[in-house]
Amino acid sequence: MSSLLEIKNLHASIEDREILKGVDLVVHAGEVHAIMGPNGSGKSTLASVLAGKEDYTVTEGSILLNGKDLMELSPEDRSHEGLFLAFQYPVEIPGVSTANFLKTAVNEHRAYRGDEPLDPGAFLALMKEKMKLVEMDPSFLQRSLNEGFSGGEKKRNEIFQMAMLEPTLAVLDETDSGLDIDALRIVAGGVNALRTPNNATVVITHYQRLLDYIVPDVVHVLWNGRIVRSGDKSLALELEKRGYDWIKNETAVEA
Amino acid sequence: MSTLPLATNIQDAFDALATAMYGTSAEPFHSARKAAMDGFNERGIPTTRHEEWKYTNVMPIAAKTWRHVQNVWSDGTITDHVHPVPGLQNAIGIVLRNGIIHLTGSTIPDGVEIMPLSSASVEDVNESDLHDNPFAVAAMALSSEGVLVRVADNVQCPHTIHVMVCGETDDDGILLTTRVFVSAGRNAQVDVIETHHTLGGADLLSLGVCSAVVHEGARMSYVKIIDDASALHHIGQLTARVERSGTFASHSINLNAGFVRNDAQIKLAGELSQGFLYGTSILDGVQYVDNHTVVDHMVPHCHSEELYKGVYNGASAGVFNGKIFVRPQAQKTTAYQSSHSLLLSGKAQVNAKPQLEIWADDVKCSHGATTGQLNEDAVFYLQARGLERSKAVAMLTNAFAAEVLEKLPHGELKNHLLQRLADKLGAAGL
Ligand SMILES: Nc1ncnc2c1ncn2[C@@H]1O[C@H](COP(=O)(O)OP(=O)(O)OP(=O)(O)O)[C@@H](O)[C@H]1O
Ligand SMILES: [Mg+2]
Repeated sequence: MSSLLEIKNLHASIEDREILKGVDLVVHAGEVHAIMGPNGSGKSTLASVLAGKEDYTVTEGSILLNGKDLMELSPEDRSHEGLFLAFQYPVEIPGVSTANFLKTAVNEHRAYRGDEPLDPGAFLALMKEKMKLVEMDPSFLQRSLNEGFSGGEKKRNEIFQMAMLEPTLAVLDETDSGLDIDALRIVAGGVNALRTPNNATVVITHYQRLLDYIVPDVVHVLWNGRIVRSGDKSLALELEKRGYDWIKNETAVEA
Repeated sequence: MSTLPLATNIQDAFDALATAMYGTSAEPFHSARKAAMDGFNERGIPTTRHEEWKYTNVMPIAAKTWRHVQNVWSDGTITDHVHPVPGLQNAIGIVLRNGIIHLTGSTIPDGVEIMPLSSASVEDVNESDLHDNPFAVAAMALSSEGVLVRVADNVQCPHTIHVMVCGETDDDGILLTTRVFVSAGRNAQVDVIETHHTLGGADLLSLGVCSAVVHEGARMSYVKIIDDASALHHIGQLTARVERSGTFASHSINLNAGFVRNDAQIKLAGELSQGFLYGTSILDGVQYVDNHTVVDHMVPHCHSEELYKGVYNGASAGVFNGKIFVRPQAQKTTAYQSSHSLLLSGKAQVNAKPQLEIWADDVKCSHGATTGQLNEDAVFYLQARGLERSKAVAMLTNAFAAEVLEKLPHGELKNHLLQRLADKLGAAGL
């Protein structure tokens, strides 16, 4: 199995405050990883650093995606190389329609691969097909991107975009939060449908419930800027029952 | 203080005009112009100590010498000089070539009158009401020519009226003055577009006044576009009076202008009348646009709405000053104003000042002014989906600015301007 993502000893800080303090993580093609951990432990920070957000400074360590050094790449090229981050809080963008934005995004990806832009008909057909995957209403396409969308609609829209861009590594930051029970099933079904032996998914979540639908191969606990425990899906069940204190205590003892 | 060259130029031009008019100087027109000249001398050229000119320093303009022209034009037809504006091919064209009128385009339909001011009667052009802007008053003093457009009661003018203010510049820099009168009769409807064009590379100072009257139940839109005139210095005043149940909308669109000061004033004089003021400025380099607006709610049950947006790159600068008056008797007024500016460069600058004077108590009024940079989280969101940073910025900037242009009533012209906007902001094809 080749490793799709390889994070080694990653340290990152914001405004001189170190948030990530040596993260190690290897994700192989075909796998699903779950990252859990208390609020403020650095999960979203890890996702942002992967996506190349400038506010964070990487002070140590390395990230390889498909063997390519991510740190060398702009956020857009990380996307072109197959990384997709579904944001915990998708930004509202007034005046830019979802359809128009996606047309640009898809064609930028195609240009990077040396492909011609999609003609409008083919693009529309592709959007319709992918919207079905997350049961999204086509009326959203003409609305401004995320503007006035409900919490759940924003999350669905993220997975719809993921379906359009077909990433090799998808990082889903609390995509389950804000979804009602039916929407959770639909969105999880969409994510599963997009799985292939050549791509991988990292889900950041607080709830075991999501993992009933998107079954992880590995579950990690991120605490205080480090992955302090990894295990199989039973770890998520144990966390659901016992919370995080026992891990914090054990980690404190080890340290 | 010695007299500023511009003030001297204006006085000399007036004297020359009076001499040329010898024998007709007792005419009411000329006495009105004389009153305007006195008005200009009273007001003088404003310094930045003047409240209405606090941010806009006209001294660099006033210190230069300008030569007033009314009747000079090079050879060739107008189409050699002015590119046709998409969406206006079927318009009724009124070309003011260095102040001289020339009609082009569609034939004038029944119920619509277009005439040079020299043919208009004094009742048509009520000059007693002097505008506040001293430069507008100067334009009144110097314009022996101009155009009057009158749409009769119940007539819907089928074509847009396109006024092209064209100035041909030589090495000296010329001073151009323009007067436009538009009147929409009861339940009539008319759309007017004023575009500005400079030919030749030297500086041009263009002063303009437009007086609009919207009679009962009539609708009028007045769109002013300055887009191929980087050598242009323009100071203009538009005043619209709206009678009962009438609607007036003004758009001030500045895509490529050297220096612009636009005063747009709406007097809501009849109940149930409505006024809309829109503005879009997309500037770079050292371009400068100052929009001063006034909405005067004189009677009850009127509605006004105002939205101005500006995008400032390079060392460009802008001013927005928006006054709303609600007179004591103007109960049940609704008046909304907002201005938003996007600064894309550290050297760009904006001053925005809303001024509400509300003397009635049963009203709904609001105002909001924002000045800021692009939302970096939004830029990052687009980048994370594969858009190059420059394209992400272009897409967001374009979306910000397009909101006002979307309100234009003209389909094809709107699309043309949206395209111009996208081109200018590097968002074409996004
Ligand atoms: N821009 C910032 N400035 C200062 N501190 C920040 C900034 N962004 C994040 N942090 C801090 O970094 C820490 C980790 O935040 P992060 O959002 O990565 O946590 P998280 O694990 O995703 O939490 P949650 O489960 O609540 O989403 C928090 O203490 C947070 O306050
Ligand atoms: Mg988070």
